Amino acid sequence: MATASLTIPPTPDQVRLARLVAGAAARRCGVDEDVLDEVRLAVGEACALAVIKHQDTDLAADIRIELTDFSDRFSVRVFDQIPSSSTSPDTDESMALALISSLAPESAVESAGPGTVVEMTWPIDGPALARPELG
Amino acid sequence: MGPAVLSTSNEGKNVEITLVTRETDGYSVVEVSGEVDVYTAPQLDEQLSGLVEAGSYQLVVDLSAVEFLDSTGLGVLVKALKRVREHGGSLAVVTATDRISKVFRITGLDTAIGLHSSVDEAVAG
Repeated sequence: MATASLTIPPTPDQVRLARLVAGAAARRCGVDEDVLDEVRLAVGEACALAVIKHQDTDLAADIRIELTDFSDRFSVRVFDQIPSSSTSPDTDESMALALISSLAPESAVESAGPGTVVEMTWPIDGPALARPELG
Repeated sequence: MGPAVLSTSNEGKNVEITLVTRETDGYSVVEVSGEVDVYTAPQLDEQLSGLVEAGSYQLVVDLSAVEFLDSTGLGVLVKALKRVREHGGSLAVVTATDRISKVFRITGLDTAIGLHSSVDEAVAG
């Protein structure tokens, strides 16, 4: 199991970076090429949701994204610092969560520390891309 | 002679979205290219809101050249749809790829917003 972490400030321009990194990591782990768009979209939704929640509450704390290769599955966890009970889902949030649950075969929203984590998992069908040999 | 370009934004700048608005057959057609996400969606919102405030209630949003669309982009389209309907208008969307139309299908918005394969088809209704 290998985990990479990415920390972004809660600003909209950083969401693109997060989804590009997630897409690249998923490809490297061997996630099917046909679902890479879905990984990018779902991760983008989760990060956008976190950014909006932080901005709505004037919280400048960073958002953390963990990308984990479990050999047979690829998991992305997006951590915000806003307790889920402090905000009620509006239409936009409901739409984002609907997209996430449709795009990721497994997804969950849970409390984590002071905030919330959105976890999304995709199966890994093929072998991971071979690492380039050094030297 | 082709339709005149009424307005453009972001041309020449290093941003992820470009918006071009033109008039055709009584419709305001907003051609969008690039990525529509939480960062760029406010620009689309501003463009569509400006059109409605200027009295354009028949809108076509052409997403043929859009590579990425998320729920914040959908939210902007829903907001514009509500506003034009208040004036008896309409909003249709043109999509060229399943990548984009899938986002409408998953959220069920394809039942509220007409999806078309070309601007001509959207204008024809």
